Amino acid sequence: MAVKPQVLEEKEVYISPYFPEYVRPKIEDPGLDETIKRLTPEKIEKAYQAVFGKETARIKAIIETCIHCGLCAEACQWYLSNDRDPTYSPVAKVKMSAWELIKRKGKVEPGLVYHIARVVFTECNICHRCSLYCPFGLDITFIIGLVRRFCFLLGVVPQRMFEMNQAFMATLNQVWISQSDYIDTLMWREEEGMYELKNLRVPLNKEGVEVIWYPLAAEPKAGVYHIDRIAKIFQVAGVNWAMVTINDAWDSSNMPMFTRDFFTMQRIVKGLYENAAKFRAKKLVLTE
Amino acid sequence: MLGYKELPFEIMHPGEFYYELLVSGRLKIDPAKKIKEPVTLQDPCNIIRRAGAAEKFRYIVRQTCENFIEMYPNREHNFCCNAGGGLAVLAQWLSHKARGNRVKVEQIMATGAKIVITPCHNCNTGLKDIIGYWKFPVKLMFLDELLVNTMHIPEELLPEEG
Repeated sequence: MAVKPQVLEEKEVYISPYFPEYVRPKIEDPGLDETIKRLTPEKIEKAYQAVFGKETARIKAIIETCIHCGLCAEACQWYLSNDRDPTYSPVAKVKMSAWELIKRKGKVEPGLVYHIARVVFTECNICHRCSLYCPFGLDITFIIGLVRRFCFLLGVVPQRMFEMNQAFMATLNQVWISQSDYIDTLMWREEEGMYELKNLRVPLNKEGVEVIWYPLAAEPKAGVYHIDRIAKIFQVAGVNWAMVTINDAWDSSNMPMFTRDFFTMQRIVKGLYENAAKFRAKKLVLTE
Repeated sequence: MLGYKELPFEIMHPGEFYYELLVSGRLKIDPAKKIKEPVTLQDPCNIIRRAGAAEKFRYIVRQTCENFIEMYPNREHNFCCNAGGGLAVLAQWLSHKARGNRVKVEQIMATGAKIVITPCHNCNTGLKDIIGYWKFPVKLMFLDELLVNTMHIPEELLPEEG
């Protein structure tokens, strides 16, 4: 079925100086445009050494086994949606990012770092569909993830993504909610819900429960109806459940995972696990 | 993190927990409230392709909806919503992202469904973006909304009048 876009398109075009076949609309993003100005060859090489320097067996196996057959292309929704433009295929994304870095042994210019960051951050969803169609079953997205790590170490990350990462670094949730606001919201929803279901409860910090439910931080902030619905379903089903408000560890969305910020990522998961273990929950249910 | 290699608890997506509630009979569906409009299901990458909850989600949807149409391809072969991998937050790249997911629009339009069930916040954002860009008439729904609208509420839990 033919469908047509209804929004004005970007006028300017970006053509990569390194790969002339890569033609895209120019989109301004301070996280990419401004940060590359701060880069020096030493910084880039240091980041390269930190990520690809050891040449582990896992990286080598993926890089050297790939025979560039292009079967992964048909699996990628970016490739299929853009009229089968070869520069959108997973193999091309790896070619333009990781292979180029390894070929040049990390001695690359800031312009190429911009190009690489653009490819790995805005044209790949790490959805693992390409691995399903790879004749060797190579984990292509693992390589994309490594390149994201390389860009993260240099700070070349799309602005909105990096801002979210900073919110996690500071507060362990993605929308800067303080503990008092969080508790306040949950108690408010309990109060409101009582008119819809008898004795509705949003239990906080209860020990020995069957289920601990961790929301997404955007839920108490902008989508409180999710908390209402969960409370209603659990009340009707008679589940012994609770929500946790202590130690700031209650947001189950792990955005640093996408920028490969391993340290913050680990802090979040550790906090969630420790809270669940502290309240001796049998099940840990995350948000949808 | 090695201390958490063997966890003292189970980690679940709410869809998997709802499935448990429905199968064990703790939560009952009111047949009169079942959704009559045609629905389809968006399979979230990480929960379906990596954790394998496809059949559980289908069980919930079949229990609560009368007319369920599968997208094609589906289950672990389903296309991504284009908001995964952190792309959900990239507002500047919205039209770039929406152009990159024409496949999903065609896939949904081919089912003729009026409601798309999205058991994932990222998928919901991603589909909202493409609905806004390509202007096609579908409604989005989470699994929790689906259950709240169709579950049987026992009389003793209904609020008192007044």
